[in-house]
Amino acid sequence: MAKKPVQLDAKGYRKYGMRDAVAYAAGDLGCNMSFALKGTMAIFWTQFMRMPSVLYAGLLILVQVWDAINDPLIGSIIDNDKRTNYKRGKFLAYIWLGSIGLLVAGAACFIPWVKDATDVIKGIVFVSGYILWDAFYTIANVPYGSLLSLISSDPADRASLSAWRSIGSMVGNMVPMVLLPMLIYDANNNILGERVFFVALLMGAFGFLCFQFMIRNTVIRVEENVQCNEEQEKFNVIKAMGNFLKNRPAVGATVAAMGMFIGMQGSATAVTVMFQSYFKNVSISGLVSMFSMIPIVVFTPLARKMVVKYGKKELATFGSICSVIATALLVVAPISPDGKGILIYILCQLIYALGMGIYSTVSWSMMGDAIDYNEWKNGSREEGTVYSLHSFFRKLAQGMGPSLALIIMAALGYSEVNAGNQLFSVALNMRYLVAFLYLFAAVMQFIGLGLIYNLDKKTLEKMNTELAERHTAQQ
Amino acid sequence: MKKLIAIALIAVMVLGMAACGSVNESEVSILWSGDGIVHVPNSLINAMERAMYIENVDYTHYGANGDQSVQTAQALEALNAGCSALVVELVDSTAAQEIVDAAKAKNVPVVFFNCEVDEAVVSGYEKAACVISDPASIGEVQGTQIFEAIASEKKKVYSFNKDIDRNKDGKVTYLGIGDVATTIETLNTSLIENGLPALESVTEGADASYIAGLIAVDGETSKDNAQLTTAEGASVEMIIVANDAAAKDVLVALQAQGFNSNKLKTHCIPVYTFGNDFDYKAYVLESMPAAPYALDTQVETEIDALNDWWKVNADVESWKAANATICSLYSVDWADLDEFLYTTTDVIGAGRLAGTTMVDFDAIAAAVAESVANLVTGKPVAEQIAKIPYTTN
Repeated sequence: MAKKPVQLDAKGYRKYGMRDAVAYAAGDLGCNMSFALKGTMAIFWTQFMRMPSVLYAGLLILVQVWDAINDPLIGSIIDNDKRTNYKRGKFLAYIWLGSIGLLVAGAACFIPWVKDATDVIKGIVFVSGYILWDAFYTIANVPYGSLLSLISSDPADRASLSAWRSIGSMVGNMVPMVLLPMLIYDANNNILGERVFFVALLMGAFGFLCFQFMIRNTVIRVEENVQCNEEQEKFNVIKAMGNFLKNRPAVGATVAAMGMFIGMQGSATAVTVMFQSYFKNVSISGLVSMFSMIPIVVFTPLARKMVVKYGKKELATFGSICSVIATALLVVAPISPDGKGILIYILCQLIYALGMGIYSTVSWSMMGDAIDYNEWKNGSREEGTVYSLHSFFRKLAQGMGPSLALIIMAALGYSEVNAGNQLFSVALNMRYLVAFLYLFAAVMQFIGLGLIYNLDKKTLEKMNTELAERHTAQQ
Repeated sequence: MKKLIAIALIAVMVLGMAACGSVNESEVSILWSGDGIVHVPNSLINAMERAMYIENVDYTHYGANGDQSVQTAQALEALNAGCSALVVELVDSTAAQEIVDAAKAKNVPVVFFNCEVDEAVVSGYEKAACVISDPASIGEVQGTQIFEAIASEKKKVYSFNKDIDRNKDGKVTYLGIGDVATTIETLNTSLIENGLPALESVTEGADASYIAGLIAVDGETSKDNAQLTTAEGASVEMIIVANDAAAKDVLVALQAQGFNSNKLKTHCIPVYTFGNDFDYKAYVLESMPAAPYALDTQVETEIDALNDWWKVNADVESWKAANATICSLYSVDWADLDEFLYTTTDVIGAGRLAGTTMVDFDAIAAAVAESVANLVTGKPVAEQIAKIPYTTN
């Protein structure tokens, strides 16, 4: 049978289609094969390795500070890399490099055999493993995020890529989320540390395969180095940071993302402890989270049409309002530690997930638009730096969230010695801590998207029109 | 957008008010025989907090510290203060009538729990109830637990032959310590019904000292299970103990033979016991090697101080600091002591015990909370004396 001829666009590239979307989704799936385990780290290191919670919280801040420094460094390395002899382009080359390291780097965060060592040794092992994982994750993830604005310049295509990235992220989160609690906890809701290590190795291998699929099926259609009419200025990180802070869309999208990470990532450990000690059934925690993914699954196919009709900012703001309502309900609803309480919790999560789903399907394309905004206002895209600064603040939030939450948990009575069987009074505190952390996340999202992000539908159209005119004039 | 926000806020407010309206405003007094303070997760008091929360019952704990006169005074004081119900874990069961009479005079429900109360005392007041563990269920529950473990291993033929039937003679031979007749009867009935051979006893009427006379036989290779055999060659493949005090003696004896120390998986005989009040802290201190006379005196003083301290504090970090001297005296790492801190159920995973039958704290607490919620709201209880079966780890 004759092979179907590849359809080409006006510039001679393979026409954008499902293959690009699925490939891009595979990239986030690959990223999440190691990232998804991050939520298990606090439980692993405090309950299994018996590292004091406050020590772990302190070390986490330390590694996150390094993480945050690490990101813009890698971003500027990529931006300053002007070599043009990469077979598939420099971004894909860096992703390939990162994927090699992530084969084993994820497991390096869960070394169980120093369980009986001193806290100093455990601390060194934790920090070393985390830095190793973080380095390779950043090398893969930073260029991956920038890739969205390079695969296509069409806003509808970018919205589609963002939506499919969310699918990849969702699958990459959902599968471990559902399966991990069933695999790594015993009948008494205590974590089985040795198993976590081997599961991490398996996930690293699968992630590598996902990255390879992505690399082989991605076409770069936008110039990686934009030429401007005026003389190109020397790259300046401080100035780039200044431009970033003046970039309202970037700041708004970042505030929303920071809120999401402080709240959701911060609550991850508290959610696990809540299922261990409040509901006394940690093995279903993944299934409950899966239910809450249903709205995202339902909404994602509709994302592109709804963006065209209503606009990204408008949609995302509506989503954040849904999240605020849902999380306020989480606080006040009578969520008792039994089946009835779990049902109410799931209902609140469904509404919350609807809001999150709406936001997450457009969140990455919002950063793509923010990069365009940079070019519109300042004349240079600096996509590597803008995205890496966005990642910098996200990482900061990702680190601050779990650390702050763990410190609050310790203050509320969480004892790592009690492992999966905390006092009921502590379990009750965790139930409310989870609710308030989610509420905080939702409020931050609303502030970022509704009040700071200023690229509504009309402004976005104007920006894209003017940028297209500039690019045409340059040619 | 503004309208949307306003509607959302109103919806949250209405739901919040609805949630507040469902909270039970009754004040119940829970009188404990001990100190009435929640120390550890695996405890009846912790289970009671959870159960009361589920039933939406507001409560206050009171502790008698083992003094019935204090507890009776607390009951009278609570009744005079207008409590809506008394929940009592009696120090002395003979005090039940006095408390019932006082509660009856105030038309206040009283629920006894975890203590034997004369049936006539409870049935003499329609708003009285009693929730206790059912001693008749102990043997049945333990026998069922052991059967399920054997049957489970039997499905994985390899592990049954390796870990249960250590001498591969097709049957399981056990050592019974104390009165385990009901356990064996229940167990053997289930085994026979399922086509498995009944357990056979290696001896009758033995205590833990019998273990010292057994002969330890290593496996053919380092990965094969070791055995403990009698002089006649019978292998002790399982030990079933009537209570956790005896289980402590059994573990001490086994560990003296190099078994059940969780160091070598090949040297682990399944031990099933009853009870989860085992004071493992004391066990650890007793099983430490003998020290010079001067150190013995110092250690004895330390132990007394620790025992007094333990009554009012259960903070692990403080315990570690308090034990630092003893740890250094005997060169015992904290990591080893840490495993002995709590109850029987916490050492099961470490391999020292295969299983325990114990009081079902959650079920007792749930039954008490339900009885209180019903009696306070004028509803009858299903039965005035509820007997809760024991459970397993």
